[in-house]
Amino acid sequence: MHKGQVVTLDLIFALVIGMAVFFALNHEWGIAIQKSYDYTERNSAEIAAHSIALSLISSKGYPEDWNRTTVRVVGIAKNLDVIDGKKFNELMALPNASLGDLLGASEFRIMINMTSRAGATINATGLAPANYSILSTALSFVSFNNNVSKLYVTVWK
Amino acid sequence: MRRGFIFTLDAVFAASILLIALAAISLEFYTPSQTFWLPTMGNSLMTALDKSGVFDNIFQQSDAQAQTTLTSYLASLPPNVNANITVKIYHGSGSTFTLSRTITAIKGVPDPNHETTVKRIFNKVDGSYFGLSEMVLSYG
Repeated sequence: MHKGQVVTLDLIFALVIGMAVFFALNHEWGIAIQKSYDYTERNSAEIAAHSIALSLISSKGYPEDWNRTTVRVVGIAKNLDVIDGKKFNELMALPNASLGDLLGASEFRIMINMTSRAGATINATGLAPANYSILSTALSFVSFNNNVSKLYVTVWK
Repeated sequence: MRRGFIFTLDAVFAASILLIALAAISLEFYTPSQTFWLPTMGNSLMTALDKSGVFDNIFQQSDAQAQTTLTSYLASLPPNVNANITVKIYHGSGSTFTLSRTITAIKGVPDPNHETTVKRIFNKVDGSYFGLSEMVLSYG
């Protein structure tokens, strides 16, 4: 070190390394926070989709003989995993605007569709996903008209 | 420590450990949570197979026919799911049941480190036979 020199080469070197570490940590921290947020959002979508699917295929709804005008709680099961065709048709006829509220997922938009085992669409209701940031689909296998069919519940926003 | 050395090897070492820890935490968020729902999907398929009469038909089918049937139903699982199903048919005589048939169908090879197993028991209407089905699933 020369006489009167305040900033040494060692100090500059240390500051450069220190700043590099700081920016690296700051960047990592930002990524961790963003991932945490994404994870929470994705998790809530997954929980919503699976809860709605489970509620649909395991409950008869309320009142038990509900239709599109009397419905309070939507459920389309005759028994667990066995779909009541009449209630399924009523579900398909419910207006999109009230679907989210009735199924307890007003935060999300919902699409429900049933397909055959091979994937041919039997019927669908709700809003197809478009411009979404979060999307989750729950697949349940059900017995519909004595055939194994697939019920997809998709939530998105 | 040499004179004028502000950033020591210890500090670099500590910062490296911190970075690795942060990276590990952020990588943790990439762990697919879907694994949590795999048993739900497997159980719903087993229940639907039972309640649609597929398992009941197996009692009347040959082993080869039953295997074809089960393979076709496994094919309806999502493409990223590997699974196998083993159905054991027991025959009842008096108070004892003996294993009479074992039928296995396969769709890919489930990852043994991340697999989940679901089981279901079903029986023939006359009570002379019952079946134990076991499905192993994993994302693959």
